[in-house]
Amino acid sequence: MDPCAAQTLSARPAGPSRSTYILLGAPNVGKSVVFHRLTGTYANVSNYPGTTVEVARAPLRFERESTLLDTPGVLAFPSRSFDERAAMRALLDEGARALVQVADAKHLRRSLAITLTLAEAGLPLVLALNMSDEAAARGVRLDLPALAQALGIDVVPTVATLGEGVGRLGEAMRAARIPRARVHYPPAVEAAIAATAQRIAARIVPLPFAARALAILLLARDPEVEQWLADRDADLARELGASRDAEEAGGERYAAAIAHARAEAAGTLAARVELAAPRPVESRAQRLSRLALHRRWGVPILLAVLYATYLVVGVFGAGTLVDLTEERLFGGLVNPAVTAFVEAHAPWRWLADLLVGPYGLWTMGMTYAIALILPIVTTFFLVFGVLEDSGYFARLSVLANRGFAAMGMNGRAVLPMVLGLGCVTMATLTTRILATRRERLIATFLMALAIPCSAQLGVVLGMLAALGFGWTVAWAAVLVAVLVLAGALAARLIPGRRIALVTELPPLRWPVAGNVVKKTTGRLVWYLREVIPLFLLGTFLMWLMDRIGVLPWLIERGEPLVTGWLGLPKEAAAAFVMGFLRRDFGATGLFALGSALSPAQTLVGMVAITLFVPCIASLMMIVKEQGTRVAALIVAMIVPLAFGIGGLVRLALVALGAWT
Amino acid sequence: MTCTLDAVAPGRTVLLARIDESLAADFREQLAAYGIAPGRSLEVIAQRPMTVVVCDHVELALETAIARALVVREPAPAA
Repeated sequence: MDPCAAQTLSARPAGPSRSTYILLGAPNVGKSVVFHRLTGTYANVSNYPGTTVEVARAPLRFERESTLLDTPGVLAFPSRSFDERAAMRALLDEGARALVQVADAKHLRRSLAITLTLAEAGLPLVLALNMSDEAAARGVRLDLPALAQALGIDVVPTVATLGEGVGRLGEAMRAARIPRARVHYPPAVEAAIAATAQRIAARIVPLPFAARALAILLLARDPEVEQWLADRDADLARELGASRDAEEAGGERYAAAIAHARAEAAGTLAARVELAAPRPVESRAQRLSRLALHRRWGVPILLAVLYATYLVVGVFGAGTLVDLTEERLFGGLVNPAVTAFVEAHAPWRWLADLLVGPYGLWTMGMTYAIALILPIVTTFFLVFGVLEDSGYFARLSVLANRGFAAMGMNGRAVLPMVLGLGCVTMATLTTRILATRRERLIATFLMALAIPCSAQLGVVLGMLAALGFGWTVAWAAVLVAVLVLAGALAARLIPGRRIALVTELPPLRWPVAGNVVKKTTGRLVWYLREVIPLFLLGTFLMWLMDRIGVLPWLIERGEPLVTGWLGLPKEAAAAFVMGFLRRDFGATGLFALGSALSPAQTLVGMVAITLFVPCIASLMMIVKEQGTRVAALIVAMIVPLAFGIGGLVRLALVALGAWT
Repeated sequence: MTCTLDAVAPGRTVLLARIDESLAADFREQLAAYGIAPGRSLEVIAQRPMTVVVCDHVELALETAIARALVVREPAPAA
């Protein structure tokens, strides 16, 4: 679910309708901007491949009864990534009236490879050659009439950011034609396509698009098409799969032959219509882009970015803003007024307690969500949006690749992991950008274990900073060590192979303020809508457990572990129970013990509470993304790990003579 | 004279001769989608922390394991 999306596929219409247009294209071609121009609604606009994880839908401006679907970026079909699979699902399920391909005019060859693939579907198609201003500035000249003639469809140059060509694109969409261009595959592949297509057409009616395209995708092992066929005719799916496997065992490699033939055909067509190819330009952005990966400057630039993030989120967000909202606004004004009002009007004592008591929905739940977390996640999402829109994350994934390789993933996992420092719940959802289920599982587990969210980070850093920088470094070192060791272990234990990183590096650019504001707003709306109800649920459970006596019982049960093994005062047991419902509550609970803890005890407590299970909202997201069994397994591993490592840190401190 | 892409010094431009058969099919497809196919020219920008090349005016970062499967040769002197 994309927080910025207008609506997602979950709101899919009951049956196929021929009034849906589908927008498709490679990542970073301005597809979401075209979507906005055509519908007036914002989807996800970003400069990082793979951030639109689902499909947005909105009515068209020029044809209100029709809708436009914005799909995630597609590098090629057959679908391989989560994004490509979502786009393929849209093609299979939506019964599109026409397809609209948005392409980067500067990269004609790559764009045409997708055009030729879409042409196989036999659906009306329009090609929008976007960023045509940038292409012209780089000296690109195209014979557009010849291109339109060769493809048999309308080709419209656009500059979506300025709205140029969008009117013409709308007209072309209404009059969209079925393309005549066709890729010719090697004879053996053509024979297999024809045989497969014939069998599909004979057994399944109606088809979402041309049987030939379905046959090509099946031969190339598109998982979504395989699933689609299995859902309709399991016998046919098995038979076709078996005959393909047998032919491939005989030496035919369909997927590679198909990709190769398409690339060749696209190259030939591009060469025919490209009157002048783009000139290489050494722009300032390009020089900066290269500096960001420079072997001497890459790491200092990364450290500067991290420091700037800390200043905005840690110092300004968690410090200045939280001081304003929590202390002055809520502590000084709002909460006394709400409490007085409820105390005066609540007909029953328990109701007043539920609303404004120590575990009150308002005094604990809402105060926490609005006064403490909201300022922190707002500043975090703002910085995240700036980095995302500038294209820096692609560089970060390259810089971090080696570290992530040790944990069985590739550098792409840096995006959810960094987002996890803001909100682990949202980051768990973002693991969808990772290519395999194995990588998603490792990333989800590591985030649940060792990535503190902004709220927890604020409390933990506040407590450790009061003790001195050395204690903060020790805490961070333990966490990084746990992250790397647990990652290395997970990489060995979870079956499957690691996927090497191949990534495009879009040019760095100044972030567009509008994009950043819209993405931040979208994420905040998502946070308010999805996460706050879960906080309230957590608070309610705390209240209920306190009321029926479970809370004191749990605290009593946990005491031996907390006092004996971790060496903390018995009151700290309550903090861990609270931490089970909301991760940072635990840290706050230890914070409340304040001077009762020695510096060494604080370190042990902070390590254990950071590693301890994530908040209830994250846990529910893990259930949603990975299933109940995996979520239960993750919790079953994290609880002993958190206490085990906390205790080991205590033993290490005892051995070093630092335990007092 | 051929070598693999990971051995090309930054700043040089080479032609892709072939992709090693050992490279998994999904990577071959991905490279084809980026326009990396035999005969294409690749300008090497960097080798660390990963191999970075420009192909068709697009910058791509490739992990060494992938770069090692790309067999390249010098462009013809006239080119």
